[in-house]
Amino acid sequence: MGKPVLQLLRFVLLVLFLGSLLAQAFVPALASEAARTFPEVGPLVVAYSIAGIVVIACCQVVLFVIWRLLSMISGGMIFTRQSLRWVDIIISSGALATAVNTGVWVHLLVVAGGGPGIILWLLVSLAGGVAFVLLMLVMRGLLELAIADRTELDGVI
Amino acid sequence: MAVIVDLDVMLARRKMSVGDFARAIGITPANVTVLKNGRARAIRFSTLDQACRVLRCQPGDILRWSGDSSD
Repeated sequence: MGKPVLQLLRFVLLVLFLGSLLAQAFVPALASEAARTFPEVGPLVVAYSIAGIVVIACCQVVLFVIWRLLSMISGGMIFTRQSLRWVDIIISSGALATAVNTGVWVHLLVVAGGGPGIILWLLVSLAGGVAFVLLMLVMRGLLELAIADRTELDGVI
Repeated sequence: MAVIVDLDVMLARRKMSVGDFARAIGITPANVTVLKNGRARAIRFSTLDQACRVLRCQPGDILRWSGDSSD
């Protein structure tokens, strides 16, 4: 594995993580701003702020786990059962983020009574989230196969 | 296993130590021990080739099939 690629990816992950912290800090302000423009969603500010922060926290967990997996690649430990445990955390976080995100859009659809914009966002977040989780499940399956092959090859002299 | 590794017999016949043999065929002494004790899952043809060359023998002198598999 190319060392410059790993280092560059680490740097990008760090930037994304810092950006997500910033986004997390801005969520309540954005929600209050929306409530000023549309006073009818005023009571939802706190709940939606919490939902937004939770979704971003899930992304942060994913970023952290990718960092861990990169360290395992550098240390030559990626093809061990341990890495599957980390991938499971990515899948759980992705599923939770998708559920919360989709839940918010469904709730907004019910409360605000629709509008094409909300339906579009609902479909985008649902499809994107489900695709991410399913893709990670496929990658996990491939990793499991690679681990089995590596274990088998280690027994060849 | 039904396939027995008779490497220790051949090594004794050629009066070769595990360390010397490992160095001669380019694998670690630990792997030679694994092979000798019959705990290896598989052996590469290249390893077998080197072993036969160094021990001046045929694969059949190192590997032997015994019909009654105990485990």
